[in-house]
Amino acid sequence: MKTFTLITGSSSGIGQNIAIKLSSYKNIILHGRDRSKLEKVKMMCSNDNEILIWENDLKKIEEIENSLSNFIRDNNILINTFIHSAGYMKMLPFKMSSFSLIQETLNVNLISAMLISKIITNKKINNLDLSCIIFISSNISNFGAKALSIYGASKSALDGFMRGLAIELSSRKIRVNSILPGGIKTPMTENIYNDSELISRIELQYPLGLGESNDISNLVEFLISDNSRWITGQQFVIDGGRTINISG
Amino acid sequence: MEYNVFHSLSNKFILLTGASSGIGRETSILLSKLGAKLLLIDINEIGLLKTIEYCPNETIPLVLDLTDSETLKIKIIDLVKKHGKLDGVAHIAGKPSIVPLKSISQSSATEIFQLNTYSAIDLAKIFVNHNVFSGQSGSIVFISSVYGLVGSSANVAYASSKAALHGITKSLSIELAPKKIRVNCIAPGFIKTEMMANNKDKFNDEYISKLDKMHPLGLGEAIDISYMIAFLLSDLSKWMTGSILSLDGGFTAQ
Repeated sequence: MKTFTLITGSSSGIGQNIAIKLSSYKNIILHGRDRSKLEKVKMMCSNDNEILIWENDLKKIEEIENSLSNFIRDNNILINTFIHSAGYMKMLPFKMSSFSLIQETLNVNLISAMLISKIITNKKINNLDLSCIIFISSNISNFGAKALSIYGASKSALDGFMRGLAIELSSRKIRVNSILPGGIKTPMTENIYNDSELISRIELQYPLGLGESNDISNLVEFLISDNSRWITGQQFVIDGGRTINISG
Repeated sequence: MEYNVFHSLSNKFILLTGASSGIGRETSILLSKLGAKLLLIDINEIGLLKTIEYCPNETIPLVLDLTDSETLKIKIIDLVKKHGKLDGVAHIAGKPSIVPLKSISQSSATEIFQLNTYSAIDLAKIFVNHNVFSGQSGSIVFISSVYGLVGSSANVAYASSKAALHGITKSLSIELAPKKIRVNCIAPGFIKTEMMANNKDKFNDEYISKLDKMHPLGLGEAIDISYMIAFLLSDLSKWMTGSILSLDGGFTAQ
């Protein structure tokens, strides 16, 4: 059976960049809510390898396990690498937040990562030893920022899950790590980037300036390769020095 | 096509310390295979020349004591004049020290700090000199230790010398960002090294299996660290700076 790399949130942004890059040497499962967008990404991928599309809305967490199990069975494939790049961020002061915002943020950023990990580590469904799991977290995971408390909490929880899972799966030599990017221009963050005054203020806080999706996918490639076979349970901050900068 | 960092190192000139054995030797060989030109420093001449035998690319040896900062500066500037400016530095040389508090003295602690810590500052200072640094996408990599992050007994000098590297990494990363020089640090767990194999009395099988169990993925190998050093010296990591990267088979995740 053919083995695949699953990349959630690959219809745009960082996930799309990762998918296109990896498609030159791996079979890829593109994932997102909108099949037409995913078809366009598929066109951008290398056609040297196989590209499958898993259309699924991670907000509907109760459907994830069945949907993914069926997808694996129907396509008769195995998944050996999982990259959780799907993310949901809404900047809102906490007092204006709602139960549904909290629930949606946690569903996409955290709970879906847990449920997908559960399915792909189940040998009855995915009968091989996974090679590794990467969570795209955020550099806010270890810090605080206004209007990002719920998003930040979801990423901190994701990293907590990452550490626990890394230890639990280490006996099977499955590695689990998080990447914590700083500000990258993607459809998720484009509202911020469209505000030129805001973005120039933000840019000043980045000693190396703002980053690109490519910076993140370079690190993904390193962490899923055998060159990192001894690396597990870690947060990899990649943010142009933003979170260690207190020069103000 | 599998992942490799070859293309991003072929035009680089890198200075490495501690190149005569262990992580320093493995890294020298890897970087050389990846196309980098190397300036290798170690106090151990025989080991250094042995390393060079395995390096396929241009390699310049420099035998000296890193703690002699005046000579270090003069020699590096001299070699750079002859061989071209540097693009990166990896400070791998380090001295272990297992001494309980009651036996530690200021002079014995200073000795550890001189090699592990002060020479890191010296190297960074020499590197940023406009006669030494090529001026484009510079990268400095320090090697600390899990002992810079977690506690253990009889380790006050070594642990503090390595933890200090984390402070150096963070402050220099901010100070040097405007010069386009990145500064990162790798904190390795226990690596199977020749030192372990040659000291069977200290590292007996029972102790090794205890060390092994402390790491969810077991003990590491020098090459595991070398790959990350290569990544950090390459332009693939051009947006990473100020990071302390734990490479330890899960040691610090538990």
